[in-house]
Amino acid sequence: MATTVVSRENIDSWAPDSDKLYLFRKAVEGMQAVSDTALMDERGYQWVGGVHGGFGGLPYCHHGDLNFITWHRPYVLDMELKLRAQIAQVADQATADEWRLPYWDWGAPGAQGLPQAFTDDAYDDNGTTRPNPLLSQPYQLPYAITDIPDPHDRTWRRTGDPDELQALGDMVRDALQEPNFNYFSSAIEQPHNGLHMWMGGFMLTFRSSFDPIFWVHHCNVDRYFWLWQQGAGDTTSVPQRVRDYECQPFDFRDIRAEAFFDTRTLGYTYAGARSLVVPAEEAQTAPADEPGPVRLNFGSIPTEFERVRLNLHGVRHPENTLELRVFANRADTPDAGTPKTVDGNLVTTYVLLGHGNCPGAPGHCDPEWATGTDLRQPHHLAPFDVMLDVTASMRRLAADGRGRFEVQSRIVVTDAMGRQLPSSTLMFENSTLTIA
Amino acid sequence: MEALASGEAGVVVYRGVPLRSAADQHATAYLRIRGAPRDLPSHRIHVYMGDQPVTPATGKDHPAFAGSFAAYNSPPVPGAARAASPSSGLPEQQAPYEVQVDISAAADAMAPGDATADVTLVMTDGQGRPLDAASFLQENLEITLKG
Repeated sequence: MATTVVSRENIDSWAPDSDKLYLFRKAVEGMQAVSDTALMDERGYQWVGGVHGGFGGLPYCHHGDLNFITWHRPYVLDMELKLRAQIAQVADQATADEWRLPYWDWGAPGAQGLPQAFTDDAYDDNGTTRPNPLLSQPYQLPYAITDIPDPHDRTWRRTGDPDELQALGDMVRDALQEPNFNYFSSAIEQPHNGLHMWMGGFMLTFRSSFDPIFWVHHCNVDRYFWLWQQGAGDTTSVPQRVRDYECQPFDFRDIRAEAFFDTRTLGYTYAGARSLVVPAEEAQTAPADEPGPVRLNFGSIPTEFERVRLNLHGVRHPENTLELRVFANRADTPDAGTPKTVDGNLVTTYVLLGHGNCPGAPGHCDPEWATGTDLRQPHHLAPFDVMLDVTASMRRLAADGRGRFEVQSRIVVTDAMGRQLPSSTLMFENSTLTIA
Repeated sequence: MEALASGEAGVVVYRGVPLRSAADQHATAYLRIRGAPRDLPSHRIHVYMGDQPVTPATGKDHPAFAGSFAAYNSPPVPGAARAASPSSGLPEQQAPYEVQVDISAAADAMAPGDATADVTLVMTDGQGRPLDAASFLQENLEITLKG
């Protein structure tokens, strides 16, 4: 069974009466209710908030060091999972499985202050007016707050001029251009700090995590990390000691920072609002001595979409040119003789240009030679992602579906002469469908 | 480099801050401050280039203004509680930290061949009040030019 990878969305895309926003509010209320019953219950709002500033000692959070953005990723994930656990009780497990924390894009051009969901005094809970739990939450830990004025028993804010957000957005855009992690880490922490200052109140302190706005703010900072990873960032520049750092005190199987680098393994992405990323349940190449196609089974996907992309991740550059003939939902097994037509359920084709024979000494064309401190561009043969727009084909296949339909893809690999090759000739790490 | 309290609350003047060409690849000129203290509340620092007199009331429109940054910080926890912390002993969380502020525009305006620059820092807390700048006096600033 595949783990569905769901896109974290911009909270501005959530209508005031949307189910997702309603569930967010109920989940925060539910977590606080856990704390009201037992203050140090790890499922409760007070415990999760307390992690950031620590429980009377040094904080767990990282600021002003290279673990800043990598530590906060599992922290936000931990919160998201605990919110989803509450949503499963309010709604059902399937709904909780599809819910992800939204982000507040305070660095966007034209950003105009707080999302309305966090400033409303109250909300409509099925006919009952209740205080908006996203406006403020109690602070109940027995550790004094000394660095902001009263009151200290409940979060509060004093936001700055919305025009100041533009300068923070400029800082973000500059930071995202830094290829080296050490510079990026410090450069992106700066607008993050500035946003805390802009918010005022509890957000000025290490108890900021008690203010619900913290979570959509840090979800956005996590998105910047993701954008850096997808864009200008040279991920090989992340120091090994940062990769190996154990992110305390989270209860994940592997708490090394590097275990959280690929968000798809964590069940989320930021690949466009309202998009859904579905990993292949089965990605199988035929044995080397069999000429069968690559088999990619994605399970069922919705029939309603605007765009679908088939992604092959971590594709190795072939020495000889290959053609990939992508078919879907054929009753039989396609091969090099299967017509490359729509009627033959052809989805698309893609040509991988071969890099030819290596002219250098042994190791010359091995993309693994680059080291973590190498400041040069990535090796030109470094594995890359192939992204194929398969929207039109999926529309045709979806026409017969009712709400959802199964997608089984087969990729026939041929050489430049059209002769079929063993599917293992195509080397890649995994595959996903992105549905928007 | 010489650090001087200006006599104005929250204001420190640094003379002779060294300029360094980038040894590695980055896109921006930075003022880097190493050894910044953690035992202050969150604060904002405005950076001015040159030795023109400035005060906490001097704003971003001043011609010497080069950039600003916010330090998200927390006062120290009292001793007994600190010792009881499950996370105490993590060096990153106790060590002074490093900040960098983008001063590209000001750096571009420097005369070619300059080896040092004068920098004035103005520190205020989250409420806009001057902070005790003496606690920030240290001699570990440098300017890294674009690489």
